[in-house]
Amino acid sequence: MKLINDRAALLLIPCIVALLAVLSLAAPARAHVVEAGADLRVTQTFAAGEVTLVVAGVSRVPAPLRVSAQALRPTALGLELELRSLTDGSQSTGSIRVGRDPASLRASHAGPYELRVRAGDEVSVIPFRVLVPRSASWTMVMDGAFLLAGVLVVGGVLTRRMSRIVVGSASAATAVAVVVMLLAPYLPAAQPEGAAPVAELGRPYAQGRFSTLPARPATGAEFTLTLRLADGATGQPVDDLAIHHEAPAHLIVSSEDGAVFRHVHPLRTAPGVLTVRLRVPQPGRYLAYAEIERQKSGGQLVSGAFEVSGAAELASSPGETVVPYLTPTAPTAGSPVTIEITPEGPIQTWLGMPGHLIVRSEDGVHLAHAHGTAAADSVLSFTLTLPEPGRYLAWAQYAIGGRLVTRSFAVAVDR
Amino acid sequence: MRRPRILIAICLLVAGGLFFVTASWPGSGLASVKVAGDRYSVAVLPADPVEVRVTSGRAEAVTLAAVMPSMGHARPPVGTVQTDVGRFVAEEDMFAMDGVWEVSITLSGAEGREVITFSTVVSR
Repeated sequence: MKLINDRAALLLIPCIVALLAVLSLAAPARAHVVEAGADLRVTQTFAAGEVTLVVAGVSRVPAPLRVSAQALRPTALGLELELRSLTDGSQSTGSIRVGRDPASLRASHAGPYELRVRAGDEVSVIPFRVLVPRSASWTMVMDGAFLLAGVLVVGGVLTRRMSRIVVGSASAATAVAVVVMLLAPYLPAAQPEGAAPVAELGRPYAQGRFSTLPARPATGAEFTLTLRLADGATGQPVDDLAIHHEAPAHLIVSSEDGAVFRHVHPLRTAPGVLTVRLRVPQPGRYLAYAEIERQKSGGQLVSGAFEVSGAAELASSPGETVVPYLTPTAPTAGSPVTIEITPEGPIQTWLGMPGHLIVRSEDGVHLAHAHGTAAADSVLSFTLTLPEPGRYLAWAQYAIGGRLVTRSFAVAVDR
Repeated sequence: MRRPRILIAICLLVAGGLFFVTASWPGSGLASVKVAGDRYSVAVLPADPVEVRVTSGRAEAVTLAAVMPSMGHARPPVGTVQTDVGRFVAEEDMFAMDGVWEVSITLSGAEGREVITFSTVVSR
């Protein structure tokens, strides 16, 4: 009897180890899909204000898809939502207000969807996928074998009939389960239901062309800046932008002299077309840079320029400046420099980061977007390397008390 | 005498398990892909010759174009012939190689013109 109990104990050990191993497997997070435990956050700049749309993840379908809107600054902005399945065309609609209760739309199945967000006369169309976890066939074999082993061992112990057949079957089931578990790293993982077919090769570069409407904007008047993206190889519209740092594209617009600066998140109005409405106080040449990331590819910077005519607005303020603390105090080209800024209060995260630093060479050839770390909640620290000697214009951005703060300064790299 | 029986039973159990795994392995068999646009909905059989069944809307003409974004390949547009009401079959083969292809379906008819795009894995 003691021998049988020892055998049972020996059988239980691998069962427990295997169960712990299975339980410890966690699903990786993805950036441009909606799935269990992974909300999709998309920041969009409407003329009425900047809004971060949050689509809550779902673990099964059909399920209500909760969509809410957040903003740094509380606004009464209302948004009309329309969710459309790109598989069967089914639709559901709702409306939300920024900072209020989420709208409950309906996801009837996994796969591609399109969320149309209307704010006044502006419409953004956000494509995304609803993914539902699916287990691989071999995990069912492994789980079944462990279950069989467990039932045999527990049943044998309880009925005190630990015959050779019971021990043999339990051992065989455990052996099958352990073999499958050991082979698990080499077996294909199950793709979640609704996942897009993706090649591991990446994508060609995108070419971007900026244009304005009207063609020659005037100071103080609203105009639309449009970026059209085309595949560098096929010329097709680029419509596979990944959501990175909470937006499909981060657009930096600055006047040539650096006095005017905007960091906005254009709306996708059609495949490969991104637009944003702007208003600038100064005439002259403006430089535009869009940071994009095609799915399964690295990030890319697309740049362009446009002219603004008219007279400078008298009321335009020069913007807030700051004197940062640099280490080393005289930065050199090709060596890292650490830039520290002391914010006025506790920092809120904006676009998932405590701080953003945009650095542009005076001639506009070089643009960097660094993310900062908040040391002891009182100092924002950025480290980056400037490539060549020259004068660089920099803008540090962070959020405090529901307000986005942009502080400008210049960095001189003498050698 | 009993031991061989047990061994046979275990072998049958393992074989059954393996058969279950291979039989239900994803990717076996070609399934049609359902895609919905604003004006038309289609079900596409994504293998040469590509077959498009218009499930919503009255399309009169269908043109297909395939690109392979990861390789930078674009294929010339291919016309279709209508073999039945709402059923269009490509006049030529479209997929030059295995991999992930992006297919654009241009439909025109009573509801106007619309381009519907979807991605699919081609393996022959």
